[in-house]
Amino acid sequence: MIFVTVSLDLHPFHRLIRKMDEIAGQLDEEVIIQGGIDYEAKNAKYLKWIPRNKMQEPVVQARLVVTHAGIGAILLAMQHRKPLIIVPRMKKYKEHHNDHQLQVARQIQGRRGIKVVYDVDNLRDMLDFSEEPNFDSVGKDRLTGAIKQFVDRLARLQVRKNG
Amino acid sequence: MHGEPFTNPDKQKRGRKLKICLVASSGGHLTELLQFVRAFQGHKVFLITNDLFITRDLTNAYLIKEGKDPDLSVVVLVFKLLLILFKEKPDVIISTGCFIAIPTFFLGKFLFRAKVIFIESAAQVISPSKTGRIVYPISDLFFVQWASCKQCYGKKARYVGGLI
Repeated sequence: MIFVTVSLDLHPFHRLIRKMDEIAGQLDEEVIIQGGIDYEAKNAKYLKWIPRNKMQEPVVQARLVVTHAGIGAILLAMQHRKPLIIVPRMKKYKEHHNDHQLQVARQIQGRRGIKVVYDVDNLRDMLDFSEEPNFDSVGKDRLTGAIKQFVDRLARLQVRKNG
Repeated sequence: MHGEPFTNPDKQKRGRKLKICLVASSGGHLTELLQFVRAFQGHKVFLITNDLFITRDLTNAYLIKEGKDPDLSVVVLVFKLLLILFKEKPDVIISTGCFIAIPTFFLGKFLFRAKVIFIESAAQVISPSKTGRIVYPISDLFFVQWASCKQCYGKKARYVGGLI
């Protein structure tokens, strides 16, 4: 199953949704699209929104995840080690209010298990991508640890101050 | 209580239970902020975010509706935040953005003497966010999630790692 997710944004991501819906009609494999907008899919199974606590399910079941370059979506795919194709939203197509997604995509596109596609006409040829991303939570753990250190030190200072 | 720190070494080691305020716009900013919840284990945590259908399942959360009248909405927002902050009296306020962090940080720091921690979103690879630039001067702790984003800010900005 191929899972496509674009989260929720003020801007619709028609370019990706329509292309994946079209491609779904050419595949034997199931395509599920979470598209964030009201949309009548012709071929794919379509959902506007999936609640936060249910987002893991389609990712776990997917062979391949196709997503915009949103941090949450990228993280979810990487955490589950799913081959990931990123299609960044672009300001010029009114898909986002800036081009930060392009920056994110360029930053991580060399990594194992991650491919970036800028032109959706190239998507069809990428869909047998099967390399699994590496993922470790070292960065997250370090940042969590640094915050925790600050918070816990503050808590100890408060005791000394207040008795 | 008189003499307690000397008779309670565990408490002195552990410290007081702090009240931690997580504040973030619903969506990606909130998703990122919630990744760091382990930093607050042992402390009391509450959340401030936007009132949208995607946030109504959250517990311990104050959901702030956007005002309809743009001239009134800043006043209403500040009023609502003041009510929350008076009630909760947070020791620490932490945010990943975006704009809702700004009044919360300023009110929290200057009226309630809270420490304020800002984590720049992982979406900011080479450029600073508007929110980050505004809260940087008053932040007690300030993190970026890419080494390339350190140059966007001054010496206070720390890079120790990021979510992706």
